[in-house]
Amino acid sequence: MGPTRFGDGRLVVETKDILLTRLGEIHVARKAPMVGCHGLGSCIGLMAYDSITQVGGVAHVVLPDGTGRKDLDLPGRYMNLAIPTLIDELVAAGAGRTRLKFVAVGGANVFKFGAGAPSLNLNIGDRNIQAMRDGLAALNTCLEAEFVGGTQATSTQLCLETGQVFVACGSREMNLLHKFAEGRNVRAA
Amino acid sequence: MADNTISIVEAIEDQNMRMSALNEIANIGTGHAARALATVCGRDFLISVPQVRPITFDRFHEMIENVDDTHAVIYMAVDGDFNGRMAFFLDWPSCQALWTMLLGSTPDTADELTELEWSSVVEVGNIINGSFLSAFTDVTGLFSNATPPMLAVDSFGSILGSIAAEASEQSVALFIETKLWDNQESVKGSFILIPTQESVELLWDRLGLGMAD
Repeated sequence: MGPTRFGDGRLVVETKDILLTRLGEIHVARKAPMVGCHGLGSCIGLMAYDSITQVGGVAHVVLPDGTGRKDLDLPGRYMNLAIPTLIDELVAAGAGRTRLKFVAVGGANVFKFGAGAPSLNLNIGDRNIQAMRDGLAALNTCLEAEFVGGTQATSTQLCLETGQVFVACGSREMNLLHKFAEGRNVRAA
Repeated sequence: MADNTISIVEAIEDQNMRMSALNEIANIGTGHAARALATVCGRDFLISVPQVRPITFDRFHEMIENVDDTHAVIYMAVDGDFNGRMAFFLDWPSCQALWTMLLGSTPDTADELTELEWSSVVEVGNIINGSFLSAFTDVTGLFSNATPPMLAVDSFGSILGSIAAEASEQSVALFIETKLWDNQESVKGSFILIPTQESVELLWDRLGLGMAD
C-alpha cells in the first residue's frame, strides 16, 4: 500500500500516518491524521466521530454476535461488543457521548462467483449490517452515512481534523463519502 | 478462546513430529495438485517444498505483504471424516496467465469478469483442491470430500477477512506456503487448510501421533 491518493489526484496522506485496524481491532485517536480500515470484505469498518473535540475512532468488526464465544480478547471482533466499546473508548479520549455520529463501510459478500456448499456461511456481511443497525437503534442513533453491502471489497479512512470519511472500492482511489459536521444534519425533503 | 487458540498453535508448533507429518502431507497434496494443474494447462509445473504454518485467524494479515493486491481465492467446504475449509489462491498476474493459456485472452481488470472467465478459474481451483484432498485421503485414510467451490476476486485482505469470518467456528488455519509455477513462472499459487478441531485430533490419531500430549 503506497500513499493514499484521492479521486482528484491529490496526494494527501502517507500510509504511515494512518492508524489502520486489523481484524477485531479498535483505534481511537484525537487529531491524529487518520484512522481507517483497509481490505474490508464481510467485515465492517464502523467509524464514530465527535466534530467538536475532533475525537474519532474506527472498529474493524468481523462478526455480528459474540454471545457464547470465548475469543473476546479483541472487543472489536463482534458487533454487539464493538459498538459499546468503541463509544466508551471515544468518551474516555474526550468525545461527548451524545455528540458521536456514525458512518459504516463494508459488509460485502466477496465470494460472489460459483455455487458453494450450503454449509458455507456466506451471508455474514448482511448479518453484520443488520447487527450494526440493531445495535445503533438500541442506542437511539443511526448511521449518518454508509457504504455497505454489495459484492466488492472496500477500504475506508476517517480524517480526524476535518471529519471527512473516504471510501475506496478494492484498490482504487479514495473518494469522499461523508463529512461529519457540527450540529444536526437536516435533510431536505 | 484466545489462550486456547494460542495453546493449540503452540501445541502444533512444539511437536516436530506433527509438523513434519503435516509438511509431508502438504508435499504430497501439492504434488498431486501440480500434476492436475499441468494436465489442465498442458504444460509442466514445478513445486516448491511446502512449509506448513499454523496461524490464528487474527494473524491472517501478517502472513501477506500486501493486503491491497488483487487475488483470486477459490474457497470450499471440506466434508467427510476430515472436515473444515480449504482455499487455493492465485495472485492477479497468475489469473491473467491462466486465462491466456485456457481462453486465449485475459481481462485487464477484475471489475467485470465474464462467466467464462470466472468459471474457468473456479474449475481450475476445483481440480487443484480436489486433487490435494484426494492425496490427503490416500496418505491419511481419512475420507475428505470437496464441495462446490466459491470464488472471490478482490483485495487479498478483504478475502482473508471474509474467510476468517466465514470459518469463525474454527480458530486455527494451516497456512501451506508453497508455490506451484510453470516453467515461465507465470502461474503461482498457495493453499490454506482450515480443519475443525475434531479433524485435527482425528488426524493425529490416524497418524499415530495422538498420544503426544
